[in-house]
Amino acid sequence: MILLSSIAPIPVIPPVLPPDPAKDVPEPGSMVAIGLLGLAIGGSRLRR
Amino acid sequence: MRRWQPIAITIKPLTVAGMLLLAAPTQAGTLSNDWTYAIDSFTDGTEGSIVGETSAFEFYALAFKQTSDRLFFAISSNLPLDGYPNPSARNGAVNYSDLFLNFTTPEFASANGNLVGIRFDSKNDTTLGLGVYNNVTAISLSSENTGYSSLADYNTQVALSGGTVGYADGTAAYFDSTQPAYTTIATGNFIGEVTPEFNLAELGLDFGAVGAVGSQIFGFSVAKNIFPSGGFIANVLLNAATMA
Repeated sequence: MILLSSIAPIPVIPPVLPPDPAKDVPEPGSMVAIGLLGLAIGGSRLRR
Repeated sequence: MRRWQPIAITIKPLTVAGMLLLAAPTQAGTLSNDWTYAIDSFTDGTEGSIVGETSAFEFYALAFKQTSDRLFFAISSNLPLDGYPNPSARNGAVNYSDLFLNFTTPEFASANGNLVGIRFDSKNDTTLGLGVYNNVTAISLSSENTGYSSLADYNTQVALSGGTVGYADGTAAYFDSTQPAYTTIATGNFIGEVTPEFNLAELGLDFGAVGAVGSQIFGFSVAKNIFPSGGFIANVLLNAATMA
């Protein structure tokens, strides 16, 4: 018996890199700083 | 006793950088539930003057499935893996040939020496152990197992017995009809293990879905990463495919 078919390539999965601590440091003016500013403004309204 | 049940399927060759490769095959088999079935004639297995489904040597289909990391093959036939006892056969029985995969050329003979071979039948006459081999050179042990002298001889006998040789979507041109068929891995490099599979129905194997149910159904798997990707032609016969 003869069978005709094909073998699909095995997918290449990109390696999972460890987190880079240097990239976790927020830049000045980043979203973290903006969020703190918003929290301060909101707290002020609640006291009124 | 004379027997042989080939199915042949046409392919389109592709030349890349001076090397003849098999193109991605046209859809030749029958697809069902992620399995590809190559369905043979049911009237071309011969056992003496008996031909067809009452013959111990009728082959029904060869099936193939792949996952991300395994290749599965399954056979539906009337021949048990223990073989067919016959004192005239080498080792006292007629068994399966090895399974050959051809990734390179449209004819078996021209690919010989560059085949992948899988010995899955522990009781056939192959001297290498069970496993997957590359750079395989195949030989014929048909004359040692009461087989036919050539494919042409086999074709003649099937016709005389009232059967019809099946080649599925192709022709007998894959083999040299004037020569004994290649049945056995003679030399090759071991590259991987063969794992018997006993629960292929759980993976969707169903020869009944394609109407090709023999008395014997079995299968095995091999690692995918030891094979090249791309189109291939696989064939399995009896090790009594021819008789000198």
